[in-house]
Amino acid sequence: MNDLERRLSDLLHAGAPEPERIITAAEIEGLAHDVPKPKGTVTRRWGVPLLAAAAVLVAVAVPAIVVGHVNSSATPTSPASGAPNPAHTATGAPATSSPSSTPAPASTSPSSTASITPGPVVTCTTGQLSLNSGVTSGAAGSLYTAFSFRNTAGTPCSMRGFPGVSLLNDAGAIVGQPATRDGTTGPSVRLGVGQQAQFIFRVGTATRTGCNLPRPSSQIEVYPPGQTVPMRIPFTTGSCAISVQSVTAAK
Amino acid sequence: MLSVEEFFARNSRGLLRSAWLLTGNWASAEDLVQTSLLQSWLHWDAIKAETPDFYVRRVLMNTFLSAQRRRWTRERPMAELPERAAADELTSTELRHVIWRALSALPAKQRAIVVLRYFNDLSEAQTATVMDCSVGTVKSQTSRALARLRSVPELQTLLEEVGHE
Repeated sequence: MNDLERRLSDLLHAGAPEPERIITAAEIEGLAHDVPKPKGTVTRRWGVPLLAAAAVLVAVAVPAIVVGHVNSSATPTSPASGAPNPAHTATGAPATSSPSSTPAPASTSPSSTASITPGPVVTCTTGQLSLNSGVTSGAAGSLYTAFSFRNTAGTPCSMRGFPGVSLLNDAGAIVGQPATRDGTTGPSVRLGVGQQAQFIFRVGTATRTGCNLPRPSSQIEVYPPGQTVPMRIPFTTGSCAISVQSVTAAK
Repeated sequence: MLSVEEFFARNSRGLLRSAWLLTGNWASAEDLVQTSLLQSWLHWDAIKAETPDFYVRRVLMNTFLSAQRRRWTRERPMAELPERAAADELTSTELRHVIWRALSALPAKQRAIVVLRYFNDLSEAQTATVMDCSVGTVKSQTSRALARLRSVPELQTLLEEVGHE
């Protein structure tokens, strides 16, 4: 370190204020409070799927309405096999984020949902979207993070169904299995210029699922519904029990 | 081996202060630290054997950097402070304002690296591990950050004076 660096260091040590309060382990434990755990199998109850990130926090206190439930298998080799999921045949994106050469299932096009999304609006492509992660909050053995897609192009587009989500390590390689799907496919979401759609991403706790990654992930890879080109942003977790909900309109 | 309670007790204060340097306010700082500690708590069994302090800092920085990309959490620049003559006239409140004004002029990633290097006292290699980037990136971002900080007038005065004490 040179003089300037040393002085800067001194200044930061002297100038960083003392916290008004300390966060204790008990407080964190309260945030992540866990219900008695069945081994390996999680029955998840979802609230109204249009929850904004902030509202997810409320889920800690408010028991949710059952919309659908999903069994998340704890066996890393077969995440979907134990989870008969009505959503799997319904729409959208490749559930696996394996090689990006995988063609998009073109079975469902947004125009078939014209009653929900009026007008000829094209499917949002990866290139016209930006991806952001929102607040993470914990409830009953899971962490929920709201991710949002923003339409950064000059024209409206729409999306429907589940994004394909995987975790990546430092080297950018996929670790663990792709996220399974929670709940049913929602209606098509129309994204005007600058508007956002979101999806809720769930990470089960390691203690509940017994499922740990060898090393924490450093990024998350997301295929927007129906797209074959992924997007990546930083995301750290050590758990390999992951699942994702259908996209919804963001407020 | 460190228990999770001990780890939190030892690190909570330092993490909060680091998070304050990143965000300039306690509400955001507490959010950041809570999120990071929650992740550590949930994955404690997996991380305790390795380096939980690196893990928790990585989560902290990742959470901070991704929150920065969301428009609604981006901080607003602070109003101009009245001119001050010298460091010994600064109260601790004024000092923190000067520091925050200087740090908030840095891009988020540079700010994160400055906090890791000069507040957490990590080496370049350790910083690179936490930030998940190369040592070269840490070096270049650090020198850019230092150049920028040196050009902040109030901080310039302070950086000169601290050395004489």
